[in-house]
Amino acid sequence: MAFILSYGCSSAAGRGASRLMVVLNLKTDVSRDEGFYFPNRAGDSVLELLTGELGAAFHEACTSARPALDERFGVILASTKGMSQDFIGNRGAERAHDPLTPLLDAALDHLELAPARALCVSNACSSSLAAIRLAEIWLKQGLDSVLVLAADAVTPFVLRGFSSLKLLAANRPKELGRDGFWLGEAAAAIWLTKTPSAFAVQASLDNDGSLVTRPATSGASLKRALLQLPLTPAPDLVFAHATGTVVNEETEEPVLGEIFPDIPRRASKSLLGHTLGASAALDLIAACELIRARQARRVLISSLGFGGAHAAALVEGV
Amino acid sequence: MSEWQNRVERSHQLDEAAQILCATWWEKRYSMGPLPDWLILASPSASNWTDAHFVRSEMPSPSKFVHTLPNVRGAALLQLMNWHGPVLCIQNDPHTVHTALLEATMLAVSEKARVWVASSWLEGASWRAEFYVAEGMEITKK
Repeated sequence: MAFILSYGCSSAAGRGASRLMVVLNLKTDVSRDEGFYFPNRAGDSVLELLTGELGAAFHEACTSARPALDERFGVILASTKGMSQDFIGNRGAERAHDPLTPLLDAALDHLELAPARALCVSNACSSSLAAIRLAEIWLKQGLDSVLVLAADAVTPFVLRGFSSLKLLAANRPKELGRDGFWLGEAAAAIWLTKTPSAFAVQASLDNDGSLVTRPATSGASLKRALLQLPLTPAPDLVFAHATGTVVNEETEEPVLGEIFPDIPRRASKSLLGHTLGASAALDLIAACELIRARQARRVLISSLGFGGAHAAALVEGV
Repeated sequence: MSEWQNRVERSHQLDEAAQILCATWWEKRYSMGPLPDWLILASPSASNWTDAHFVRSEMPSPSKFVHTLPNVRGAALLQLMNWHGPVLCIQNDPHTVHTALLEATMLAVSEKARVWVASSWLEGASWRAEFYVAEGMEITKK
């Protein structure tokens, strides 16, 4: 178990967790030109864009609370593709190094952080919860705090890829009968500590290597991830992964319905877009905001990813 | 078609990084010992090679696109191993494998776990894969 000391985020809703909640609570559509982009993004490279948005998320978190300067801390960046668009451009040039580490390095420089440990986690769209799980382990191993950063952008590379998979919805997100999702952009920063704080969080992972682009249809892997968490007392709200694809709904809905039959479910992707590796970080922050506003006490978050990745997290007020 | 390919869903669609990972594990499977509690994927250069091919292709291939996520190479390996459990895909170039081995060692100790590190990458014109097992304070290259 870890404790969430503070958090911040940026998305198509704008900068700040309060903006996120305005969109989620009022169900306001903030999509722009076929996607949910960061406002005012024109002209930036992906590296500059994500570094800037991570900086905004980090400063929001630190305005609320940050660990003491003399603490030993780590930083984990969760992302699916990092700065890959800058990295390979449209020329297809190959580079020696991965496209995530330069984003982590740029963020650490920008934020003037010198962590004792730092790395990137790329577990597809469940990257944020994989990073939270690793952060729990780092705290157990002796670090005083861990900063989880999460970021993904909608680039031509990503759009082309999801178009090829035919997973993007033709209809606008709030329309009935949609059969896919719109992509979104987000950056988030979450400070985790081992010192009791406002929220406690536990995350779990399971990967079954099921078909590459879909979760195991039996739901077995998602169930295993969920049942690793202490579900008694039961959560009073579930944030589903809920991309809007047929495959996601066929797998996730029966499992959530079986384990949490009477618990209300919410989802953020129809209002904020599918923000890929950062999506579960947004859900986690939304859960904290709902707990802070006394609209929920224990919130379960479910997150799935390509390659058979399944993850879950339970967050509760302390 | 080799024996391991018959055991993996749509093995003909795997990218080179996934193929070498599977082929190498199949070759070493009897020397790997018990299955792990955790698996760490360490992929130097991530999926750059597949990314570049996807970008260059005139007709974007969905099966190529899914392999532009570095964790996806692990899916076929898990099918071959007939295993499920926690997987972490770690990137920290140019120290990705070194970082993964450190993480595996610390995880093995703190979680009292058996941790495998699986790595595949392009070296010059050849694809390579390596497997390590961390248990207690020891890490062994297979």
